[in-house]
Amino acid sequence: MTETNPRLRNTLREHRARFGITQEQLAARVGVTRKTINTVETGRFVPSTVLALKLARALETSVETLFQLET
Amino acid sequence: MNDVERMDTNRDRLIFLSLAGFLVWQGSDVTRQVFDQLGAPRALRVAVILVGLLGAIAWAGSMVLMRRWMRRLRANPSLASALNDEAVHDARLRACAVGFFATIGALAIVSVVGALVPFSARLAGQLSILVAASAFLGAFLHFRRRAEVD
Repeated sequence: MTETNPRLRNTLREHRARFGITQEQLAARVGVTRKTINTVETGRFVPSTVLALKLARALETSVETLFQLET
Repeated sequence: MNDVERMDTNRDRLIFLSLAGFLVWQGSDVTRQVFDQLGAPRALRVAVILVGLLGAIAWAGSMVLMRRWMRRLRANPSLASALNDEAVHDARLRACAVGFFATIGALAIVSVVGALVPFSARLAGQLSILVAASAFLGAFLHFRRRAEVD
């Protein structure tokens, strides 16, 4: 759960850009720090199911759209 | 910058101040004990004590500021929750692991060196605590700083 997981990709940055919000604004929406959003975006931290669901809800998409396992 | 980010930055600064103060304070005390054993000149020992005093003051100041920081956090549960999110928990856990292994390493080195050059149990304990606390705090800061790198 903690280390960079090369098999998990995410489209958080793209979705955030589509909404036109900063990492700080997204962090405020889901109740975490900006650094946490940054670590998720860069793949250094794999979020819990709860945080993934919160992110998906904040960006009005599904968890599967935000996070994909590389085949 | 919102409250969460401001408090997050403040936490890093306070931890850094406390780490730096603690290192200077305890490092000077260890140096003084070594100087005592070697019979170094009095002026040198006094200088080391004065440097250590500055470190102790910085550490004590960081503790006072940290208490104030914690009080602000307790007054605002949503702020507390954001500042203790899962990435912070993760950084803390990994820093604990670093601290643990650093302590084992320090104890091993102290044991080996202690077999060759006798020194007091107090000094050995002090060195171990110095390494443990510094490794934990330093690693926590490192893991949180890595989150800044894009």
